[in-house]
Parts: sequence; structure tokens; C-alpha cells
Amino acid sequence: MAADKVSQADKIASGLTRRQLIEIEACSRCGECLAWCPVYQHDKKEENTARGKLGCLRKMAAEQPGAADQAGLLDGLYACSACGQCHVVCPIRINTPELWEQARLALVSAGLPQPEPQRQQLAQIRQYNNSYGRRQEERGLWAERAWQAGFLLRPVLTWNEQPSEVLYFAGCTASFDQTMQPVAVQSARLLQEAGVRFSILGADEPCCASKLRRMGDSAFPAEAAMRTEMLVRKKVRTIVVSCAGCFKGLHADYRGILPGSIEVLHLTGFLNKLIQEGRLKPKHEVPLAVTYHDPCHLGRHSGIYEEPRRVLGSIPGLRIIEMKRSGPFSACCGMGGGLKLARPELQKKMSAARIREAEATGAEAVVTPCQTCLMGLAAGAVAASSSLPVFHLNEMLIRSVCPDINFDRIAAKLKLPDGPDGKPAA
Amino acid sequence: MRQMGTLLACAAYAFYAAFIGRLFLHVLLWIRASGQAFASPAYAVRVRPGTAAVAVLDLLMFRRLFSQNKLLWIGSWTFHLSFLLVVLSHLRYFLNPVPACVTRLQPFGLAAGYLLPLSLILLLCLRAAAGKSRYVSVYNYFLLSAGLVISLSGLSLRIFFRPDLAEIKAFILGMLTFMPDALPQSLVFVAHFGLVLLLLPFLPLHMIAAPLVTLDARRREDELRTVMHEK
Repeated sequence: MAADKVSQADKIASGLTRRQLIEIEACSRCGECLAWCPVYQHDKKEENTARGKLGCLRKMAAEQPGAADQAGLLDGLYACSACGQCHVVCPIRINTPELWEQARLALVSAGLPQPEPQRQQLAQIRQYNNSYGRRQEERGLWAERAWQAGFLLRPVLTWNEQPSEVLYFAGCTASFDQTMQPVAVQSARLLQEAGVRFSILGADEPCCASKLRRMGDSAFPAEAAMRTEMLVRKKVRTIVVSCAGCFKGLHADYRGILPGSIEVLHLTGFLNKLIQEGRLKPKHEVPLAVTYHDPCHLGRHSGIYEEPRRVLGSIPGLRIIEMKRSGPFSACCGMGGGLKLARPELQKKMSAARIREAEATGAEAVVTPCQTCLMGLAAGAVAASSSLPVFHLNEMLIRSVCPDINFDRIAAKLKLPDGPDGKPAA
Repeated sequence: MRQMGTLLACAAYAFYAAFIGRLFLHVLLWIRASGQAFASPAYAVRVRPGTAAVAVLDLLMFRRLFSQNKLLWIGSWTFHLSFLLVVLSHLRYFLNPVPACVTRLQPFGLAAGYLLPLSLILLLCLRAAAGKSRYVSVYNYFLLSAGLVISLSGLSLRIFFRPDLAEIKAFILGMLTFMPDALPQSLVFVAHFGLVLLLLPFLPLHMIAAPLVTLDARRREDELRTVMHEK
């Protein structure tokens, strides 16, 4: 049994790269990560902090682990949204998010258990090419139905029908989750309003597979390579992504895989450019005081803080009030890194705390450009018994550009009745 | 006293060996690392001079800490700087003849000798005042406390219990040349020296690893920016 533990510990240590082995020794135990960790705020266990996880990993690497170290590492790693706050506040600048992802891979490779909901979701992505376990043929239906419902200026063509200068990548959530389909519809409409020639991949659009990496699945490099090959084959040059998670996946996780000739942009950056160029004109007044929630994948992980604020700032009548924690110090809503799957109760506490922080600003609504954060914060508002509305950034812009297609109207119109399997009928 | 001197020198060899052995094992582990990253960067971004300069500034000025916790920065930066100056000025006991640069460093070393315990007291107070449960790890607490006791004992040798420096230097040089000399008469010195030895095996390896990580972090961030904005 003891030999098993040592062998597992050895496997975990050997799963880390040289840089990461140096990083686990670089921790000065200053405790800044503890002071900022959004998970630790709600579950005060040392293993939940970067310092605690690094301590367990150090013992693993030195092959002197106790049972408590292994259990602690498992607890800490899976009770982590990989939000990157510990990286931002670490005086040494230890690259913690990458370390946690790699450590998860090492744990799984060493045969240690992974939370069942995470395991199931990873299997679903590998099997169905989306995280919803749906048929790929349904992926592009949002565009067809939105055109039929009169929400779009023109039909959205697929890349196979007409390759364009821009590929709009909606991602799994905006494609399959009916409550979030308005994000894809509004994104498409805004691009059309600005006169951008774009196409979607429709049924060919793959899952970006970044969740495989977030949750430590060894299949990620091969899956990413397959997707890259498809994008290269289709001669895609510019990808505009509305999902913060997919954006981080395609621009950062694919580095070294995606060729430099393919440009990956987040929708907010692209919209900001269109507004600056005068191609998209926010004209109707939106008299609201809002507070902006920085998604971790867009902010801390990708360094995009200004563009979404500039987009909001371009809307007449709209006023931004910053939360106490914003920009690089924005508190995570708990939706990333598979935390919601592993520890749903913790995610609710985190998003409820974020909602209370938003309420304290006196703002009338929270705005975020990430549909996953949108879902998380909406759940947080319920958990905090708050009436503070949570909006996608697209909704604010739509109200100013073409107010006839607001989020709720699209959601109501596109909603399908549930099929016999409990999933919406296609 | 010679026998006692030999005994202390042998203890010192054992503690030095333990420290070097620990360091060697870790370096060996780093060299033998076999883990493959999820994806390897295709962009062989060379380290630009500007990036290198910023990384060195990060390292020397603890800029990340400065941006988020000014008081902690004052404590940490003063501690590290004064620790470095104290260690360098102590070289006069280990080198014969004493190089001119080490001699010139002595006034700074003396000032640092006063600052070192003050910075450690500030760090301990900040930790205690943070009011966050387990904000200070046991290890961190041990390091800070040991550092404080060592620096205070060193300072007391300067102010209250001035030892025979020639005797101390003879002992140190004897130890370094594997010809241990008599144990110095000053018990405070013996306590000071013994405490340093006791701390040696526990010295954090972040002294070596942290500079490597900090320097690499800027290169990595630069690489990410390149991927995002300069395709």
C-alpha cells in the first residue's frame, strides 16, 4: 500500500514539467494567495489555496507524501475554478492555472479518482464533440431559426456554403443551451449591423476542447490538433469568438498548435474596433448604471480588460460603476475549471458573493461578456435572493443599436418544447 | 576548547552537507523532469532586452508585491535587501585577506544589521494583524521567528557582548580549511552560529527557484501577447 502511494506520488511528480517542478519550490509561503482566493473565502481549508496545493505537490515531488497530502491535493485541485487570481497576486508570478491543469492531468494519469460529473462531461465532449451531449447537426440551428423568427438582417451562411473573411465561432453553450442562444443570435445581428461578412461552421463547428485541458484530459493536444487541421483545411483566417472560455482555448491553449496565420479575436475586441471605425453605431440611449464583471478567461487569462469597457462606454446614457474587485482582481463567479461540476454548492456561494459585491456599488445591473459567467451570476442572484439583473454585454449594445431583438424576446421565441429524453426537441 | 571547536565544526559540516544535499536532490529532480506540457509553444519567442530588463526589475524591486500590498512590500523588500547585505558583510569572517569591496560594504552591512530584525518584526506584525485564519503557515512563522532570533543575537554581539573577532575568524577559517580551531569564548557567538546552522536545512529553496520563475514569467507573458496581438 505504501509502495503504491510512493509510486503514485512519483507518477504525479513525473507528470509535471521542469518549469513546474521549479515553480512548486518557488513559493515563498507569503500567503497573498490565501488573502485573495475566492474559493478559500467560502471553504477555509489550506489545500484550497495555491500555497496549500503547492505544499502538497512539493511533498509529492519529494516522494515523501502522506495520505493527507494526497487527499488534500485532490480536494484542493478539484475545488478550484482555475480563475488565476493566485497567479495575479503571487509576488513570484507562479503560473498557477497551468500548474493546476497539468497537476490534474498528472493525477488522472496516476490513476487517482476524478469527480464523476467532470469525468462524464469529458467523455461527452469526446463522444459528441460538444459538452451538451447533443447531435452536432443541431449546432447551427440557432442561426436558421433566428432568421426565420426575423431576428437577423440576412440569413447566416455556413462556411461550406460561403467562406467569408470572418468565421463567427459561437461555442457549445450559445449553440445548444436554449437560454443562452440569444448570445449567438445577438452576436450575429451585431456583426450584420456593422456590415461584416461572416459565416459559421454550423454542424462542423467543433467544441473548442478547452474543457479537456481545464480538467486535465490527456486527449487535449490530439483533439486540438484535429480541430486545427479542419480550420486550416477550410482556409479560415480570422475567428471571432463570443465565448470567453472558447477564446482562451483557441488563442492561448492552442498556441503551438494553431498556425500564426489564423487570427483569434474575442467578440468584444472586434465590436470595439467596429465602433471605433464607425461601422457599428450605438445610437439609442440606454439609461442604466451598470457594473462590469470581468470573466477570468477574458481578463486575467487573456489580459482583455479595456475593450469591453470601451464598448459599454460607447453606449449613450450607460454609466459604469466599478466593483471593489475589478480588472485583474475581479472575483471569480466559480463557473470555470470544472468547479461547478465538482463542487456546485461552492460555485453558488462564490457567485452569490459576487452579486452582493455588485449590489454594494449601487448599480442597477451587472454586465458581463461571457455567457458562462452570465449563467453563474444569475444562479448567484437567486442564491443571494437578489433582484439585481444580470445582462450579457451584447444585450446592452443591442438595446442601443437595434432594440427590437432583446435577449428575453429571442429566448422566448427560440425555446423548443422538451423532447421525450428531457432535452429540447430539435 | 579545541575539542568543542572540532565538535561545532563537525556539526557545521553535517548541516552544510544536509543543505547542499537537499539542493542537489532538487536540482537532480529538475534535470530529470519528464512531464510533457499540454502543448508546446511554436513561437520560439526570444527574450527581448526590454522584457529581460522588466523581469530583472520585477525581481529586484518585488514589483508585483508593491502593486498590491505596500506595507508587506516594505517589510519583504527591506528584509531581503538587509539579509543580502548582512550575508555579504559577513564574508569578512570567511575570507583572508578581506577583499576591498567587502571592507567597503561594512557600513552598509552594519545598517542592514539594524534593519533586518526591524523588517522581520514588521513582517510578523503584518501577518498577525491580517486577521485571516492560518494566514501565516507554521513554516513561514518558524522562518520569520528563527530569522528574528538570529538577527537579534547577531546585533547583540555588535552592541552588548562584543566577542574577540580574531578568535572568531580563526575558528571560521579553521573550519573552512578542515583544521578546526578552538571554540570562541563568547557563548552568544556560539548560540548565534548554532542557530544559523539549525536554520540551514530549513532554508526555503525559493531563494533559488523564485528568481528563475520570476524571470521566466515575463518571457511567458510576452509570448502570450505575441500570440494574441502580433500574428
